[in-house]
Amino acid sequence: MVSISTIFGIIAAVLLGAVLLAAVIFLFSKIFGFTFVVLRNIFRFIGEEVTDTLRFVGAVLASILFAPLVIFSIIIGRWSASKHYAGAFIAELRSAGRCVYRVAIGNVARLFGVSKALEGVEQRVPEMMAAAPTRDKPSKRVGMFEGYTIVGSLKGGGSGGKLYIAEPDEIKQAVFAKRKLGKVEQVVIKVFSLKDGSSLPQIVRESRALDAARSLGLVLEHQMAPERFYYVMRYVPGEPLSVITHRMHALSPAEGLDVAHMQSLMGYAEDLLIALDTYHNAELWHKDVKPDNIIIDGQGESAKAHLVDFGLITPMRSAMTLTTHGTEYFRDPELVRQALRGVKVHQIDGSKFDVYAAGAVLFSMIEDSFPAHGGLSQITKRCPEALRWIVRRSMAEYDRRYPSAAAMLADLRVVIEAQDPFTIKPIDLPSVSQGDVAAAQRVESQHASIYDEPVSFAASPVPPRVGAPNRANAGARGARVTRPKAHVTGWWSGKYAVVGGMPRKPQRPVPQNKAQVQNASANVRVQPPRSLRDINDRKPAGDQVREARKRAHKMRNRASNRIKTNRRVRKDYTNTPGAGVVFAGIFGLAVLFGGAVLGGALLLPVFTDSGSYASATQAPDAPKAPMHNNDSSHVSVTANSQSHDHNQQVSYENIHNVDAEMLFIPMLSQPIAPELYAEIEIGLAELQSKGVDLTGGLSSSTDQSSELAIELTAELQNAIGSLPLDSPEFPMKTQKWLESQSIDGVLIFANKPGSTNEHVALMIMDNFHTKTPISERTVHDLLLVLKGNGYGH
Amino acid sequence: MLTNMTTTFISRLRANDEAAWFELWETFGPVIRIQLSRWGRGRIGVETVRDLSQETLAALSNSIERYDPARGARFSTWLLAIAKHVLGDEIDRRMALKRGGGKANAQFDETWMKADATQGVDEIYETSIFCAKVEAAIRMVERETDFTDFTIYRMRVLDNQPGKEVALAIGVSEPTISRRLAKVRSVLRSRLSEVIATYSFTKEELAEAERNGLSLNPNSDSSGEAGPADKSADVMFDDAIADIYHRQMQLRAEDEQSLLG
Repeated sequence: MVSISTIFGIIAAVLLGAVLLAAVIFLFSKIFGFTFVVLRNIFRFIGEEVTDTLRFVGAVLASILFAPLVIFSIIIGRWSASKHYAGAFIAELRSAGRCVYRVAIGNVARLFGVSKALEGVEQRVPEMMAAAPTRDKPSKRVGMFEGYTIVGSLKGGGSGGKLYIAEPDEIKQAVFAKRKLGKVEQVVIKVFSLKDGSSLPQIVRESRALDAARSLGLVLEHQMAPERFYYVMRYVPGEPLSVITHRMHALSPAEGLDVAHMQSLMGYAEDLLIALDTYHNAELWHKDVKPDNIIIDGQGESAKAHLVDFGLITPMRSAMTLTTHGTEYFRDPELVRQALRGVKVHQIDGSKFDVYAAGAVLFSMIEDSFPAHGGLSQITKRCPEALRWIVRRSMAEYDRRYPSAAAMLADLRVVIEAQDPFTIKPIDLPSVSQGDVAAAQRVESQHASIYDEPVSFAASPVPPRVGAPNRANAGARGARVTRPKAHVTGWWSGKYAVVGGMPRKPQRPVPQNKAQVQNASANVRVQPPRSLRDINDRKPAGDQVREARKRAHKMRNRASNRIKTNRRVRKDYTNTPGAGVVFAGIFGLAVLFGGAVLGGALLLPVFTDSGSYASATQAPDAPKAPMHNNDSSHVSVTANSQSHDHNQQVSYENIHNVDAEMLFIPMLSQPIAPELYAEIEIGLAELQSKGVDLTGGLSSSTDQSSELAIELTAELQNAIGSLPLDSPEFPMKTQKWLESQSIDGVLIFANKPGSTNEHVALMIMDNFHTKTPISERTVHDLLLVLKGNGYGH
Repeated sequence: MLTNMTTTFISRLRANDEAAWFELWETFGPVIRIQLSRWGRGRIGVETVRDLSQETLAALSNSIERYDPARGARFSTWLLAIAKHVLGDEIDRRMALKRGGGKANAQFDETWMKADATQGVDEIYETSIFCAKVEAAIRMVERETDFTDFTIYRMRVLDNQPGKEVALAIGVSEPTISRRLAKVRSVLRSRLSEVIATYSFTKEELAEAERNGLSLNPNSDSSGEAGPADKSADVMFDDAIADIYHRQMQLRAEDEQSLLG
């Protein structure tokens, strides 16, 4: 029998065992938990080290790609492009430096994935190449701009106009100063030329907006000539918002922007909304708000966003029919619907479409992508709930979105001014808690104090606010001029009052009694009568002219001196090669040299094995690769007889049975020189002797072939219209026409565009086309090309 | 079998109502673009896909005159057949097969008008078309309902945020959230019925919503109050909508990628 003490002993032992076991488990869990944390941190550290190393490799690879582009741009004389690529090269080096720094100090940024290694090559290189400026000087066909010196160029936008950076001369500067536009050191000239591919409707559209933009000082000057149109804007240096956004996202964690970058971007959105509010109050609608049209000037806290490109700016009271122009994803689909219905501009509130675009821009800042889903686009990146609300509200249905940019700005400012934007809820926004009108008034009252002060019109396209009305008590749309409406006040008497319309000029109070009349007359400053000069005191006309000239000369000198003294030392844009270009150039040369040495080393065994590279590829009977197809737009066959070697001569003579039926069209200016005539006749006979079936010839006759040729030529002309021979569309349209014909191609002999002495042969077949100058080698070249493309043996 | 809404819509298309064409383009443009990209992978570029998707609708305007509803083709098959024809025409043009002379332009193949399961319509494409219809309905609801109501639905259902959090953010009580959700859900059911009726040519297409868990006519008791069955139907409806919305987002993202090249 077991005693009670034994039972208690067993129970105590079991309890003790359980406690010990629990303690051991607890201890183990703590130890293993700690070990787990340590291991996790080590693996994270290793992961980040690997990522940063790969990023470093990517940046170096991108630098290696940029350096030869600098050299290439210098060789072809594109200074601005070389500077552009050099800037990108330096940016890559900076990026590489940051990676080295992170690797060296072991930072704990939460980055994953090896794809980062190719970021520079896959994203930044194509972006920079796409954004490269065009040539620095306009083509001769366009001509120069009087009063401006072209110093560089910018990448053109979707409108097709060309953009040049220029410096106005002293006279232009004096004109701008007289118009109180402030200092204008550098300008952007946007030019549309019919000869450069712009269309007349495009020119008319762009020019229509300019009077409105000029009234705000956004456009400094514009000129319409018979074949071109250009306008001049102030130059705003900086980078487009799309580039800045992309860069900020690259520097932030994958789940979204960090707070500092978020604050910066919201600051840019605030600048944008202030600009839009100003335009809307001036009854203008920008119509093309998108990240590429927002330029960020400066860095850090002094950075400011500027809205540029006034090509589509539209007066809100315009009687024109609404058009669908704008940029997809930043243009409200409702605008397209209204335009398709044929609505007039003044029948809708254009400012609401700008508000939609501002919301889309804000979306693109948060997501680093465009709102492909319109108002339903989902925000997947981390962002304050209130900001999400602002984006949704601004991109909501036309009647439900913010009534004005001011109301949106009021909401945005609450988020910007918060210590932690993530703590702000939609209910904290003025438009939610107080309503849209109160929100707009809040902004108006903030602006009112600014309006009273003279605002300097520095390098900002936002117009000065001097003279703008105090709209503190004017409601959401403030002093916006509306269409006048008549309201009947007395139905019996027919009395009515006019509401809205143009604001009336302040009227003087009408004096009510004699005392008031006396007071009023006492306040009038009486001007002393101007004394008349005695006619005999006048100097002779010659002396007067001399004195007037002296005065004019003196004034001109004074203006010139004033401009010189006021000129700023720093210029916003310069295309002189900087240290970046020099450094990138040297590095690029080294890369090219290294590549050549490496390539030579790799190819040397190939040359050695095959004996001779030339003899291996130029064998007389070897089939030639197609010289040209539809994928490339143009090819020229060199027809210099000196450059042809013996192998090609053999190839030509070996060509037989060319099975091609072609229409021959002579488009040479008359009269044709006898030598050329004879040369062409011989050439055509030679082509026919090789089997080419030609329809038509140089001389007109009444045989069946000539009649058919005339008929086919007329059909072709009808199909392609009046396209010039050197147009890239000419071969394409001809090939399309050929699809419905039984012949294989067209052979055209014509004068070289712009020349009477030089001639070219253009051969367009159904699957390729080629152009060659007319010479004694033309037929040989054409036969070689035909053979190379499968015609003949 | 065409519903009145379908015939009205087709009449609008036939009358060249630009708004109807824009509606069609807005709703099904991305689906066609993605389908063309899949078919022409490696052979046609981004720009060509854009052009062809527009040409598809242009071709549709011609073929619509010859459309015979009695032959029982699905709406999705109709769109697909036209897109396929446009792409085939483009490929033929590129191959320049006319050598030897006089090959006429590709003729429009009208065999698709027969109700036939072997027309090459795959599941991904069918899902895309259905998702596009649901998206069109959501878009209509967004236009019609109060902004706050729709945002509540969006936050609660589409973004899957807890009701308490939504109530806190908007500054209303949780029962108010439930009431507003019900309001939007009701409008959505109604619009979804309309959209599906408009863009469906067959009975089988009309029943597509139910097959995808979207109960358009939930049972309700005589008092009009939502019973337990209704509540579970509502939850299922919301889940299905959220699922389709996210699938459509994914589709749009693919389209976006293809547009970016």
